[in-house]
Amino acid sequence: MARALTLLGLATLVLGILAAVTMRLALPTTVLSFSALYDPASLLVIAAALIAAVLVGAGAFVRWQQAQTQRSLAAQAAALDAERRRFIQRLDHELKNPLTAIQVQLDNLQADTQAGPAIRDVRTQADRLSTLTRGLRRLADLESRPLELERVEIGELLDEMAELLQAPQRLTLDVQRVPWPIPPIQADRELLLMALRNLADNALKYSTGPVQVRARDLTGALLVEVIDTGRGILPADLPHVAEELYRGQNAHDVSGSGLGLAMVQRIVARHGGKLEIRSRPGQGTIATLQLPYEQPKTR
Amino acid sequence: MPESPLILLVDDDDAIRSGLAAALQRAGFRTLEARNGLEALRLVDAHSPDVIALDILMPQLDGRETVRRLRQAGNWTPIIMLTQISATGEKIASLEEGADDFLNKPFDSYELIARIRALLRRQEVAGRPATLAHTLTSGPLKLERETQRVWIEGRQIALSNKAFGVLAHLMSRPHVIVSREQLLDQVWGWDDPTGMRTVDVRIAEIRRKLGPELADLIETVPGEGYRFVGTVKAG
Repeated sequence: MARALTLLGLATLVLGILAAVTMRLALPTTVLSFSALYDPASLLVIAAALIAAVLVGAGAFVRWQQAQTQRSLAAQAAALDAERRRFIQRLDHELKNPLTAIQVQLDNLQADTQAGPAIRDVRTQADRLSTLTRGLRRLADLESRPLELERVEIGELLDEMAELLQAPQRLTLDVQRVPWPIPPIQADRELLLMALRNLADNALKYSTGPVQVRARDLTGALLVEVIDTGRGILPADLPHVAEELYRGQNAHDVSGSGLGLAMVQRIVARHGGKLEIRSRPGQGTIATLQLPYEQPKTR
Repeated sequence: MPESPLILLVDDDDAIRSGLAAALQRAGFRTLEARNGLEALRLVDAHSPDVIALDILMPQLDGRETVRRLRQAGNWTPIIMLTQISATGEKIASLEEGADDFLNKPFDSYELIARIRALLRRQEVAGRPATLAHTLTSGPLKLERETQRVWIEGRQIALSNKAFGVLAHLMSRPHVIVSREQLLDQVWGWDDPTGMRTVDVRIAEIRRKLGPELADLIETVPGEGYRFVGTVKAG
């Protein structure tokens, strides 16, 4: 719409000028001996210019309005997002004190009486809740802590990641070395390590076969793919797997916090990158990280 | 037999305070209880406790202000903050204002007892706890907290941020065993039990960069954690 108006305006201007030139050529000035201002050719050009200005202006106005609508939609989405995060943070705060009291009093009970299975069960459940609050806190921290940027060699970082995994023998690393090596990336080393470890952990957890981690150099960005041949993610779950506390329908038999991918998503977003997950149930999953090599100064 | 250490517990939550008091008494400590910072300051004056366990969010006078007032008055009683605030910035602020340690809620009583025992062994350097000194030296090794720099024989070595944090934490507590959980909690700002090997990776980095002659300054205590075994001086 906006573009059409602008084009129409420019076309009017061009047509006006062409008409004026044709007129001038067809009717020699000697015949039309009005003053320059009343010269029909000049009038035509002025009229065309006015119409063109109005059309181009209208185009700009429509564009501005569209941008405004888009901005307010984005602002609404951001506000909802912020609200959800505040809620989760408050929930975390409100859980902590009662959980501390429960844990401390359980210690006291256990010391006073023979530790019956009932107390053990309650403790296990309290521990689960504690783990959840720790995860929520970490997620909130990821929003607020400043990034500690340094130059990171992805090959080194992946070696480090492999050291941290439970079953590294199922993992193969494939880092591009030819025809050129991957340049270093500017990133928060620990956060990036955490994100990669999370993806590799997931791949190992939800599969029994080999897991491959590939790193490639794209123009201006680093690409890391974590590939498994495991059970995969159901199509209905796929759009939601990176939401906090979401667990896939076919994932309930494997223990997990439901926060891992949400964490990866935050880390990647804070680095200005993107996370994409493709999956086929029964075939496997490919998690792709794309991260810009350089960070804008303001981030 | 010397008197058992006196611990001042400060928390506005009755269930936590009385539960912790029972646990600490069972562990052989004497306890005092306060519901807020003002009560705590009065009890510190009257009884000079050996360690203070202090909640942050409290009515009347909160934990951070309580620490600030104690330290301004020249009182260096070891303090462990029972923090309920998520942001790492808050923790760092508490440490800078003079708290010695902090423990994230929820925690269990055994963790608090272990931290209190470590604080009772805290080393003082020139009348102040080493945890609060700006510069620490041990033989040829020198560490400057604020600028995050480390030198060996005057030659600067490059450590990653987290490796620096680990070294500073251990050096501030010479001869005290620090668990991996504790290092994760204090240096990384989160206590992720699956991330414990992350600590080992940073310890390996520190040892590598200290070189073969100084690597032994960091001792691995199997099943428990790490400790710095050199003599540490402030300045």
